[in-house]
Amino acid sequence: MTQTATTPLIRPTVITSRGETRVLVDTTSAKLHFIAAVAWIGVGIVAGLLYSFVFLRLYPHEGVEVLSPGRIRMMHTNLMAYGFLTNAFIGMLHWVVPRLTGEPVLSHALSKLIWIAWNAIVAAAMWGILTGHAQAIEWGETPFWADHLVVVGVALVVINFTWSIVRSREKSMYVTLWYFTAAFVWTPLVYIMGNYLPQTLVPGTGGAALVGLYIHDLVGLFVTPMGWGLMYFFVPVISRKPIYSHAISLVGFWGLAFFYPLNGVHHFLWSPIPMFAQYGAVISTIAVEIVVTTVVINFVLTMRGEWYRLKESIALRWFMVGMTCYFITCFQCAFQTTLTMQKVIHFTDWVVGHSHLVMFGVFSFWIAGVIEHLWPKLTGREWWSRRLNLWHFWLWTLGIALMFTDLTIIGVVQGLLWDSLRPWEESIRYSEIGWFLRMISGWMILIGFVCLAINMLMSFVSRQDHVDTVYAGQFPEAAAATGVNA
Amino acid sequence: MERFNFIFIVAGILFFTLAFVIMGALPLAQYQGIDVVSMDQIATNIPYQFDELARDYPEAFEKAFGTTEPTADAFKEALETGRQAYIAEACWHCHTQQIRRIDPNDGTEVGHDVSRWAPDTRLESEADEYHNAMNYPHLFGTRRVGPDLIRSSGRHSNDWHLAHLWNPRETSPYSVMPPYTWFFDDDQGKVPNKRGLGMVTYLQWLGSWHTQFAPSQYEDLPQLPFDESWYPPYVPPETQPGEEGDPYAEEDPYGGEEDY
Ligand code: HEC
Ligand code: HEM
Ligand code: HEM
Ligand SMILES: [Fe+2]
Repeated sequence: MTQTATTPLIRPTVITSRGETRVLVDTTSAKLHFIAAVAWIGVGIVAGLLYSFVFLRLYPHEGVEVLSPGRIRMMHTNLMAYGFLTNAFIGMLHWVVPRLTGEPVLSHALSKLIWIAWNAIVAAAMWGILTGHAQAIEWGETPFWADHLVVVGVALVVINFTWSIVRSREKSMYVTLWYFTAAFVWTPLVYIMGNYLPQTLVPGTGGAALVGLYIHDLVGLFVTPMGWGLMYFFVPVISRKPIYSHAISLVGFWGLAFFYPLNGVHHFLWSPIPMFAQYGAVISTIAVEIVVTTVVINFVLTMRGEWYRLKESIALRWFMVGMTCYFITCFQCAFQTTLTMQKVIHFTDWVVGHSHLVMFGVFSFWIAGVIEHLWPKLTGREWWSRRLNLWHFWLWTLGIALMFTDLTIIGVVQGLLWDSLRPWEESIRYSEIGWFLRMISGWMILIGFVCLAINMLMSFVSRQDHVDTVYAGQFPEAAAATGVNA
Repeated sequence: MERFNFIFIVAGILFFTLAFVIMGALPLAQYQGIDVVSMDQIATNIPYQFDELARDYPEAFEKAFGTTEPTADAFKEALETGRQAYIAEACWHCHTQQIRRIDPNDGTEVGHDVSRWAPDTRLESEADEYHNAMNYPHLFGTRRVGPDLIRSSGRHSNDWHLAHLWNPRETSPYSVMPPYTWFFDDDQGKVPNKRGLGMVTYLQWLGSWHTQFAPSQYEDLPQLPFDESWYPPYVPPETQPGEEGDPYAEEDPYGGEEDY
């Protein structure tokens, strides 16, 4: 393991795994990425809330072209994916990867450049969407010209971090790094496949098969491995217990790698895509579901005997609520992917509920937990108010609970009304109450966000030093996480 | 460590490729050899609504397409414009363009998608309907807030569409569809601009290759309270499937070799 050479907590120089004395972790970049992530999720949440007004016929900007609801919706989803999740993931990569490999990233100057470039790309893409240059690919609505820039940006990120992994002289490679390495390979492939082929080479139904693959792989081969890598690092670190079972970790990784990409067509079930592909997708979706459940169980068993820590650690609470949402997702998937259920719930708000449960209830919650844990370490300042953090936690938890149950129920109602061949507007009228409750949950989420933002800002301003009682000196996180010396 | 890395990189690429082949390339292989229908071929079959647009809005039409005649070139340009506006406004996040081949084993003769969206032909969407230059990329959609549009040709008149785009609540009181006032040049919603004309052309083209509802069928319905008037024009067949005289027995999409 690495040794600390100097004491200032924020920028310790260390002896790297190759015996050089270097600054290991670029905390400035990590901090900047988390700040950007929080800023973008703020804008994204406002966009989501605005769009939810459309369904109540209360949209405040009717007749203003750049604020056309459809454009706001594309902004909402793309900001969540590329503004919020991606920035947060890069921030946590800065913290985690050098710790596990004992090697810094390729260049800390490059890291800063990536921060500037990536956020400029996101801003430019949003401008493109608002001015009507969107591309008709779900999760790839960023204008076509922005896609070239995104590919370059992703390549830079991949090079920067892969460098540290490849140069490492550590003897074992921890689970987290399996996931990150795989994600570094997958993300560029997925992005190029989804954004270029259907746009230029493959029209119609064949293109739809590829877009299905893209919609699915972006969450499955980018967001999921990043999120799980994160959990495999932070859950053991905070609960100070090694992961329950290495065997389950292996099953989880290889199961995901093999089955997840095979699910693509489940986004277009019953469509004109050939039936053999649809059956294949349904079967591998069920396989994925089993794999994911085992991973969730691995984490829950890791927490055995440590549950009392949830009282102290809000970060662990975020992680475990996220795990719960993940478990609910798996349970829900068993139904939603079957061809029988698809007849009813496909195209309805049920799917929107699923999306928010996973994107928000799982991955955003895990990131919230990481921010909770890392912000004091990155800034060297104590949280300004624990109470605000608790408000944030409860508002988001109750918000997603309300949003998910509500959308699932009206999803079924919509599906059954369509199935009964009742007039279309009837399904709209029956959904109104559900759309209203969704708006309420949106306000809860927005207020929760404001709590977080204020708290981050105030702890930075208040200048109350954070004293790291637990991890003085070395990097026991890595030791605890890898199970060595836990 | 280097060795481990290598495993993950190779396995990652391998599994990705495997999935690409099974989920992408194999379905794709089905369309090999079928030529993609070009814009020129599309423009050999211009729906009559385009002629009506040229006749009813001559000034706007000329301003938009540089001619007063509904020529093939003007049609191609209108279609492109309409499709681009459809994408820019993300209409496809509220409207699908696919009639699913839902299994009919739920008591109806065809699944509810077909009953609702293809009441006349009762045919679900087929792959070749999308194999053309207007589908780079496809616009299947994954969310239905409003009706499916793949067979929308002729379902409403041009004027209905323009009134609806100007203010959806005028034609459909409970609609949650946003108004698109920037598809018009004036502030009354009377003078469509290029995007407005293009959008109506696009909507009237969707499905025109397959079927056309009787012109303005919806408007001819008696003016009942909104509930009633919105029942889809699906009339159950008098004969049961398979019975003698069943008009669909011959072309039953679910009979024969199809194995789902
Ligand atoms: C917020 C979701 C939403 C968006 C965005 C949206 N629509 Fe709609 N649309 C609806 C709803 C709901 C209806 C059904 C009620 C009505 O007729 O207005 C509808 C109805 C329609 C109809 C009538 C269909 C029929 O068969 O009667 C057409 C045509 C249409 N929309 C076209 C468009 C176009 C073109 C756009 C983009 C410029 C668009 N819509 C954007 C929700 C939406
Ligand atoms: C890993 C985290 C996951 C994320 C982030 C995620 C996200 C999403 C999103 C955003 C959609 C909506 C896509 C759209 O509307 O086009 C979706 C749909 C879907 N998801 Fe997931 N999902 C995850 C896990 C799963 C799992 C584990 C399963 C099942 C095993 C699953 C099965 C499905 C299915 C079947 C649909 C399509 C539903 C439909 O369109 O009718 N997802 N998912
Ligand atoms: C204030 C809170 C939020 C509100 C009110 C909100 C509202 C909405 C609305 C109205 C839609 C469109 C649904 C439709 O087409 O019917 C949507 C889509 C979506 N939102 Fe949110 N949202 C919120 C927060 C979030 C967050 C925090 C995330 C993720 C990090 C997120 C991810 C998504 C995704 C992935 C979709 C696409 C769903 C799909 O296509 O199936 N949202 N949201
Ligand atoms: Fe998926």
